[in-house]
Amino acid sequence: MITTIGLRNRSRGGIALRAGYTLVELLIAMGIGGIFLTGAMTSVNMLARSSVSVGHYANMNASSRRALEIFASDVRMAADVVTSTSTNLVFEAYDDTNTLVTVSYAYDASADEVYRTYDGTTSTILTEVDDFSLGYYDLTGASTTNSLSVKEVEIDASLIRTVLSLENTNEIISSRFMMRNRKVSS
Amino acid sequence: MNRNAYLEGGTAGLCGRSGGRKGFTLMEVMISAVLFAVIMLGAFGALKRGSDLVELSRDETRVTQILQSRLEDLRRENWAALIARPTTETFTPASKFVAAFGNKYTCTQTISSRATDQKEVVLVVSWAKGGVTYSREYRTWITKGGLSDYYYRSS
Repeated sequence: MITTIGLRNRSRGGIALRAGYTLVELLIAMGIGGIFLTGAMTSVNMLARSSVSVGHYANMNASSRRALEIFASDVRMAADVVTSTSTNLVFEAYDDTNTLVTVSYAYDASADEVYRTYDGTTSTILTEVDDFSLGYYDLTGASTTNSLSVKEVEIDASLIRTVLSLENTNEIISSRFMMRNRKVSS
Repeated sequence: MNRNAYLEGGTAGLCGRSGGRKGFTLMEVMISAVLFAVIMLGAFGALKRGSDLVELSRDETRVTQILQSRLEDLRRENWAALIARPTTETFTPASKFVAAFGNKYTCTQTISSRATDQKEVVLVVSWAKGGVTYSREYRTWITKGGLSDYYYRSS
């Protein structure tokens, strides 16, 4: 208040000084400006984060569709199951020349990746996998752990991506793909 | 509204006292604020639309898996079991879908005769999102002794 009075007095005293802003006016202006800037920053920040999230979701969905498609076509050609654990599946499948090749799917929990090995060639089929498990079912549709009676296989996985502290997850549940070429007894 | 009133008072005061053109006039500030709001609304609108489309795509991924799973189940059955099924029935997706998504997806199966010893199977999964009902269907023919019999069981 003292500043204000001083300024006004000087201005009135004939000196060609233009009046500046009073402290109160400045504080109010800064306060309002601050509120507006905070609002604007928050919206822009939110917008940027959400855009990245949408990109993540689209990306995760695309890679899960691709993985499911490959998995489905592999499993349909399966003739025999070698290993069937919750994170590892090894089976023999017919290739395009009707020759049996070894195909495997394995989850590496430390690298958060799922690998597919087809006839000796390994590739990463899913990345940033938070959780992965395989389910096995017999001819009657009942859950089984016995490799000999596995007729259907199901993937249950969770992909995760982070944008700053925000986590985007994508749950993949596959259909129970049938091993069409595999003969099992009921 | 309160903030605007506050701003108006403050700005008017400033302009009045300084007399000359300094800083921004109330009009300029208001126009820029409105412009910013319009841009942000547009951006959020686009984002909403984008995320809705991605969500639809994610639902479609799940639904195709539910449909495929049901189809595999039906093809595991022998002919006698298939024709014994009612014309129309509802089915529940595999247990993991129910565990993760509850009863979000409504699944219906219709079996009709297409020719002698041939059935047409139509599977429809529908779900609601934002007041809109979406549905996707799989349609296939199953023939007695045809390729669909992956494994024949007598029981």
